[in-house]
Amino acid sequence: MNSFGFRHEPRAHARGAGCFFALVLLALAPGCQREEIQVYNIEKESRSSETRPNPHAGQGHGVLPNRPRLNYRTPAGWTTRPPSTMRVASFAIAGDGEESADVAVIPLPDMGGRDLDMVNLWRGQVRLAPIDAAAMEQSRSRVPIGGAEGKFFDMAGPTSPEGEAPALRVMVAILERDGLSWFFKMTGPDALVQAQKTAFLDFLKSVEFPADEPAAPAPAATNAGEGKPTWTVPAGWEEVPGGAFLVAKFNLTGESGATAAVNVSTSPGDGGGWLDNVNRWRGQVGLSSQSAAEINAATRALAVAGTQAQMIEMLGTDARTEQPARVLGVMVPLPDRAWFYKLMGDPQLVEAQRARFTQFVQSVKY
Amino acid sequence: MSLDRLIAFFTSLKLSVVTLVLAMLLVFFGTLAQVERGLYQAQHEFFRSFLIYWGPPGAAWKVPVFPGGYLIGGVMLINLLAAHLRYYRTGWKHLGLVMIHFGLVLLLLGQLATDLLSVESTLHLREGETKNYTVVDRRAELAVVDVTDAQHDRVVAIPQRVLEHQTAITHPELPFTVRVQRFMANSTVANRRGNNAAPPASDQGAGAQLTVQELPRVTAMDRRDVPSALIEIGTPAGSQGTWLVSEFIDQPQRFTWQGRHYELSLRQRRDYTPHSLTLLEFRHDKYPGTEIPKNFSSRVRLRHPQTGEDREVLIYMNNPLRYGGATYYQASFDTDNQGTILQVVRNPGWLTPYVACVLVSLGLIWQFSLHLFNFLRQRRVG
Repeated sequence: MNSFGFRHEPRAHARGAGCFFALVLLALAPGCQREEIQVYNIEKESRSSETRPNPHAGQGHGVLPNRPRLNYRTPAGWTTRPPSTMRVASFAIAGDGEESADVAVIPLPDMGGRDLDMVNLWRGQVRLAPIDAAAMEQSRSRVPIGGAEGKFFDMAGPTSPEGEAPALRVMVAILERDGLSWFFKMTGPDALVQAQKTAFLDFLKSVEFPADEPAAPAPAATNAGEGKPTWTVPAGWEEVPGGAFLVAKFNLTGESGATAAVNVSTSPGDGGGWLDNVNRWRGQVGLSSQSAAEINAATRALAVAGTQAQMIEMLGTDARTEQPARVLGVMVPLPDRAWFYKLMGDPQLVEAQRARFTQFVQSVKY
Repeated sequence: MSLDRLIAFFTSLKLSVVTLVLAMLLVFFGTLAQVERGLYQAQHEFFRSFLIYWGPPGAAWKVPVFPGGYLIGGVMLINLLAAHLRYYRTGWKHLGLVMIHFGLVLLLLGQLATDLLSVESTLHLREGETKNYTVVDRRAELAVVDVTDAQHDRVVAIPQRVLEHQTAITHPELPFTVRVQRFMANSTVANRRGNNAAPPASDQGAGAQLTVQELPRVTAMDRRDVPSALIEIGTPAGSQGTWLVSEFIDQPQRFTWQGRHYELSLRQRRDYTPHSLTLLEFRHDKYPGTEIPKNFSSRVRLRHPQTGEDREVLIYMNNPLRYGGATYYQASFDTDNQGTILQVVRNPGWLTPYVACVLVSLGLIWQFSLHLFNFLRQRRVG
């Protein structure tokens, strides 16, 4: 073939090939649409089957809290909304045009000492930078809530950098009561929230906690109250209510008023794993987190219930009492869930109770 | 580079040999990489890429070190087509070569089509349960469902890729903005215990009582990532709060905006089908007196409201159900023998490797037969 043929024939074919590739790409294009947002209707019935336990239920922590109740007077102009998973009360306040503010009442267990985290979370929502504890203390005022005195924070943010969203304000009142932190929060456009401040304060004053309804039934987690195993409780251990997150709790008292406690809890799956739980315990006695290698080196095996449990010991300072504390922690991994036993308290008392604690853990029948 | 040289480059046999050698090396190293990175990550990095990147551990930069599967396959395809077009001869003597070339082109294109179009999902059914969707194991989606209507739910499904790459998601169907504050491809979620120092994961919904921790992506074949995300619902009236959505949270989380009720859930991606399957019975037969499995089978009821189809089907090992462009294989079952797990494969290009192999085989037979007959004829003449 001459050079003429070489130069022109391939080009003619190349055009054909180009068309062929274009067709192939067109044919393949629908495949790329899978990663776009899809919108569709489904029948209520078919959706109901989706709420069955998900395949990860064994590892997961489904949460359906039991809510405490409270009584209150709804201010004029507030529209009551249905309570949601977390909110025991919820209101909408209509402003000018489409503007509206939102009021939520949320009780949460064990939030004491977390004010700074929460304040900075709310500051983020109104586009304000985080602050430190000292600045938070300065910004805090007091407010009457249902006959008691609560903390009050008022945070107003700037307009969004693009200027499209209005400046936001959030007012939050916090009341610590019977182990629960009650959050009363009003969020919305700055002017509207400010205009509703008096109504919000009146609402707080009107709050009553029903006497017949214990105010602190902490939200139930999936791991609470499930299949309590049998065990032999050592002499001198006093079983006390442990709250929603503990299967059992025992108080131990030693000489000269020394105290310690044994907590028993369980979680589906591996309960977050040995490493995370040990580091969580370390945090409770003021110790910094350790690496897997360091923790593994300190871990001892303990034969329990036909399997091997992991056991660790640590000495530090109780973050809450600021007294020296020793922790003996055990994790028993079962096929579907993990059990945790923790003896924590006065170092000498824990040392004296070591053998009893080990016997107790080994006595458990699942 | 002049056109002649370009044509010479893309039609050269040397290029064919180089791409074949590179492909062999790619398969070798890609297979080795699966030990450390797992099948899916290695496939993604080595075969579903144009270039393979490498950087020192801990460094923020990476450099391309080797061509990836798409690049090698693409050059191979161009080389095949270009050589074929350049050296194309008409006549029945060359028919075998045409078939071989066309078969190889079809094989490459078929693999590309499989790569882009095929979807593997699973269908988990308990006895008596009906579903009209399958779930894609390794991809998640955020479902924002308007549940206000008494008859229907309106679902806006935001795929994982969008959650990973966009911080503010708007859609004409959503009267608010979904802001993704944090997306964790793999995570663990735990109840906040009384003495937990970690702050709650979110200020609304279940996350207010949970903590979330990001985990490294899993590489083992028998495990998978469980994603979580911290999202904020932004409205013209301001933020409605933050929600932790996670595959760990079983129940959808509800909120109300402008009188309409919405539910949020992060779940495995769902592919809905116009037909539904109901598991009537799962059987796990064993050889009498032993624990050795003899047969796994799922008796399902297939219903298609639009066509009026309603029939029973028995799915068992090596006898899948092929229906609606998908193949349902018996893959696994629940430990209590009350539920089945079917693997569902949709691969529009599933026939191409078979057709390509037939074409190449016929081409080779043609070409070798031609040589054989020529040889025999010449010997007879001689």
